[in-house]
Amino acid sequence: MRRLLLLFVLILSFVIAIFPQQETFVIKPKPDQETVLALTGFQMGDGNQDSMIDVYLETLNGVLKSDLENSGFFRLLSPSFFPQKGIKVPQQLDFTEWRDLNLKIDYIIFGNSKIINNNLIVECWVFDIKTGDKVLGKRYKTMPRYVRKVAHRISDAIVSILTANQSFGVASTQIVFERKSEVGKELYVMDYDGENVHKLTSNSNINLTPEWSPDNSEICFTSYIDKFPGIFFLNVLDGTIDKLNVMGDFLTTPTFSPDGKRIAFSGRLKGSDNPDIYICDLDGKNLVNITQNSGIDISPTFSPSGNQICFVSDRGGSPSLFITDIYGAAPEKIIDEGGYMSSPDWSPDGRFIAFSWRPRGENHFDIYIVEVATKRVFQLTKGQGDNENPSWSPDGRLIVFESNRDGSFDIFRMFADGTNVVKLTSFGGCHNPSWSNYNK
Amino acid sequence: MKKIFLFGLIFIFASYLFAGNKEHFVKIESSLMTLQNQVQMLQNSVVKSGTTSETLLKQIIDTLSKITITLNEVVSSKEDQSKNINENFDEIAGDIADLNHKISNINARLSKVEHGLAEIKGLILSMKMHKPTEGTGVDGKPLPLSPDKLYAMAYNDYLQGNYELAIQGFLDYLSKYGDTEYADNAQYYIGDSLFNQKRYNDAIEAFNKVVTNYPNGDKAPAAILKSGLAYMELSDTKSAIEMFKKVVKKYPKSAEAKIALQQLEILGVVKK
Repeated sequence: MRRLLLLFVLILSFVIAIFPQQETFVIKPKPDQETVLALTGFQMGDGNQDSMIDVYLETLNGVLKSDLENSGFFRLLSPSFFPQKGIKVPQQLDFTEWRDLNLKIDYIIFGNSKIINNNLIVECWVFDIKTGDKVLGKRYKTMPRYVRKVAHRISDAIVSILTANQSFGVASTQIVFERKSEVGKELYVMDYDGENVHKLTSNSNINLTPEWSPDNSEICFTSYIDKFPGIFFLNVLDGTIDKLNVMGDFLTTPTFSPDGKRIAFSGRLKGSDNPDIYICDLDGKNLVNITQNSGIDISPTFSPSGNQICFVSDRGGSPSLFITDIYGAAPEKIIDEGGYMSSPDWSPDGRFIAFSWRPRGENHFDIYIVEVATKRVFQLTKGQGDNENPSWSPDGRLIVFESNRDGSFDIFRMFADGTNVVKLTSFGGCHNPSWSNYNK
Repeated sequence: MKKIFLFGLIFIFASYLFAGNKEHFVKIESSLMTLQNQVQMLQNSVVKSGTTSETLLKQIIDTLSKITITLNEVVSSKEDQSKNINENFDEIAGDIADLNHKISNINARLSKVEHGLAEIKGLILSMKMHKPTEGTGVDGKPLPLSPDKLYAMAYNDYLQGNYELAIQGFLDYLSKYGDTEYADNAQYYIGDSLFNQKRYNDAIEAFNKVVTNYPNGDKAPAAILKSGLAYMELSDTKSAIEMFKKVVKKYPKSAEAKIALQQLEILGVVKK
């Protein structure tokens, strides 16, 4: 009997030991599968006309290093190992010196920058150390104030080519979010690294729940411009705002369909007493209610195919995630456990849905992802205040969210396995971040 | 054998790749990614359950032939491109370097796939040599993937919009586990995949099977509603109305009955 018990314990511990490994979902490659880069840094190019170039060089080098590290694809070799420094052009590159090193270096990145006639000129090359092949050669000419942008572009080009388009790089993407103002909330946008923050709305009202159009030209959001919540479109280029032409005294949490032609939102329309999920064209036509029931239905998110919608409903008691198709057929609850679930966001590859959840008996919200086909749930944040409103990066490798772990709510970013958490804002009162699509 | 033949073809065409263009590469790359995933799944299924899936093997062969077709296109476009080669020497030099890099990338990944397939072959061979174990049938043939896994794989394809793969997967599931709890779901998702492919007549036929084969399953109301929507797409309003009325009458408490009623209101059959 005792032996049996021992065997049982052994099996159980084996199962426990094995299962977490299967259950974790890891973003970064294993050390032996890593691509190793030698980023030798940009040098001052010949014929430079402005001493400010030192500042730009520092920015270029710093931003590119941080972008490549944050992509999660590469390991950057420490500069102390570099046999050659100050490579400006390919002619100066001596492959034998790099190959002689007993280090696993896959690619070398170098280049130069100069200011000519008030233009910033940046040249960048990537070479394969083993084969000696040129992998990338790019030249940029722009105004010096766009120096960060150039570094982001270079990073995206490197990520695209070295990952064979698994990712097109997210360094040029942006994040929109709501920030508390003296009288309400305004929408702000920033680069993916938290830099370059600027205000998008200035209507001294309450502006909430922004979401990008697939081509990043528009942002749909909830606003109290008409004294009650309605849905509006902001043209990102010229700042103009249009109202969605649907009548109702409570319209909120809009989201674009993946083809950008339709919009899904939660609304309490005439004749109904509780919010349902609606889908309509951008001009308000072809309006259909896909969740006709007595509960509150809110926060829709499209699957990447555009044929499914996940949303939050309290029809079964506490707010939980449901999936239905865009006609409202075959609604299904995804997670049977209780607690409070909110703000789902479907991953770009369709496999996962990220959401925030306060499980029954817990005091805090955390970020979780659920694998839709298997219904396996992975917890990404833990023991750090409330963590809410997740949004996927367009390559599905990162998640942006809000957290009050440092006091007031600010915007944070992490790998989609919960590692490498980076704080992006320090204003306080920041909510509902939404990651843009690729900027091509 | 067919696989080896296809690999041969791919390597021959790979040598022509430097003349290819970006579109083709994106196609090849995405096919390669699919291929790698499929081989991975196949490997997992072989390792874990000691069995192999005919559907997966078929899918792998399909993907391989897609790559071959794209490579063929690359070869034929080579001639067109050579006419314009006098322009922009620098850019072309850069592009060729980029392409060469991509080729070596593709080659590396292809050899990984080849390696994976060789491993699978080895595993299958060694399984054949061993006596039948608990996981195998009386004739020594390996039993297929676990029902849950097979279902999840097909459903994942359905969610990702890979409807052809989803249909194959669900058909595979139904042929082996036609009497399980999820069989009606599988039949429904076959119908819905066809619906999303705009193959409305086939979809109606598949939805009909949900209702006749699994009348008490929870997908029956959705199947009738979606046949109605398929008839609408085919401009057969009469049949569509019939279906919407059927949902309301047969499953009055279902979510689909309310959607059907909304459709009947839009069509002016019932008043708000």
